[in-house]
Amino acid sequence: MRDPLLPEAFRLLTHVAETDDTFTIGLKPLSGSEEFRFAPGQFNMLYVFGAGEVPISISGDAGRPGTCVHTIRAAGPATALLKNLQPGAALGLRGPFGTPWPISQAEGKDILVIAGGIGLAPLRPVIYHVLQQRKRFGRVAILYGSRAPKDVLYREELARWAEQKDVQVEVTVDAAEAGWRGHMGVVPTLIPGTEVDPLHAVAMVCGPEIMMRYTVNELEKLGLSDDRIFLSMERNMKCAVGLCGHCQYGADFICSDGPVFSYDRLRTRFYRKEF
Amino acid sequence: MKSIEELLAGHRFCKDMPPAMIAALAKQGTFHQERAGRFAVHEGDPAGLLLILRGKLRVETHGPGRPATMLETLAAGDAFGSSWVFPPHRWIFDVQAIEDAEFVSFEGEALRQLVDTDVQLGNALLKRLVRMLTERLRATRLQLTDVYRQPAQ
Repeated sequence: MRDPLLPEAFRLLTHVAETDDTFTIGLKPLSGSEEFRFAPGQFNMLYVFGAGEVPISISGDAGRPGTCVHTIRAAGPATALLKNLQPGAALGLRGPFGTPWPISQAEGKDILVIAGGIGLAPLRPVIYHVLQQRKRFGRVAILYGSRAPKDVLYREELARWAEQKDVQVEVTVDAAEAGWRGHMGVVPTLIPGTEVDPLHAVAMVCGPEIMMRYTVNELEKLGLSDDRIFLSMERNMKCAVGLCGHCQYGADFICSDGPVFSYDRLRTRFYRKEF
Repeated sequence: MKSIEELLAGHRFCKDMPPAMIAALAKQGTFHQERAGRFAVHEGDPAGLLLILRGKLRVETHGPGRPATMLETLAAGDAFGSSWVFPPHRWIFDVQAIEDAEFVSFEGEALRQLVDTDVQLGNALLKRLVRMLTERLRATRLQLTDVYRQPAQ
C-alpha cells in the first residue's frame, strides 16, 4: 500500500486553456505502471516543485481511468506556476482523497447538478457518469453560473449536453454586455424553473460558499429534503488524510470526512461564520 | 389555446391561489406574443405586471452613447413589474425579448382598482409581489457580491 503522504511523480501530457485564468491539464504516472482511478468528487494534492502542494478536484471521466484530469484556476503561486507548465513537465501527485458524490444513491432519482464558477470542475465527472448511464436516472438538470460570458467553462461540452433532449442545461452569468444572448442572473434564480421532481431529486452543488448558501435556500423552497442536498466544501486542505487539522470544520475534516457532505450533516454550522 | 385563467393557474406567481381569485385576476389579463428583438416594455410607459409563459426576455436600461446595460433575464415562470403600485406608475426599465416570448400582462390601473376593491385578492396579489421583490433583491445582492471574482480583483 502506498504511503498517502508520499507524492508520486506524474508527467503533464496535455494543457488546454479554458478561460483567461483557468486551464485543464492531463497527467500520467511517470512509472507508467498504473492507471489512475478515482470516484467523482474526489481530489488530488498536486505538488508543484518549488511552489508547494495544492488540493485540486478531479475533473475527468472516471469511466476512462487512463489519464488524470484537473481543471485549475490560477489563483496563487502554485497554481500560477501550474498554468505555465508545458507538456512533458513533471509534478508530484498524492491521491485521490475524500468522499465522492452519492452517484449510486442517486440512481432512479432525478438529478440536479448546480455549479458556480470553477465549481463545475468537480461536478463534471458526475455529469459524464450520469449521461453515460442515462437510463439509470430520472430527469437531469444542469444549472451553471459564471461571472461573465468569457468565464464560462467547458463551453463546447455544455452545448453538447444541451443538445440532448433528456437533459436540461441552463447557463447564466452574473454580468454581461448588451450583446450576450444567454441568460443573466445568479444561478439560484434558475432553480424554480427546473423540470426535476423535488420529491424525487438529488441535488449536487459546488461553488463559492456564499453561492451555495443561496442555492440551499432555493432548494429547500423547492421542496428538496436536507438529506438529498449534497455540497462540496472547501477549506485549507494540507495533509489530505485528516491528520493536520488545517481543514477542520466543526467535528469534521473536509479532506477526509468530505469534501462532499449531505446538507443535513452540515446544517447546524453551514450558516455560522465562526466555522 | 388555453384561456387566461388556465394560463394563470399554471403559472408560479399564482401557485396556491384559490380558483375564484385566479378567475377574477384573469379578467384583467391579456395574452401577448413578442418576437425576438422586440420590446415588451418601454421605460416611461404606464407600468403593469408581466407573467412570463415562454421564451426569454431581458431587462435593460439605456443611456446615450453607450450600449444598453443588461440587468437580468426573465424566463418562463418569472413575474416582473412592481412600479404600478406607487406613483408615478411608470416602467423604469426596458424589457426586450431575446427569444420569441409569450406572457400575460396586466395594466397597472386595473390592478390598483382590484387591490382597492377586493381586499382578499389585493392581499394575495401584494404578498406575491413582496415575495417576487424579495427574491429579486436577494439575487441582486448575490450578484453584487461578485462571488466568482479572484480575491485580488
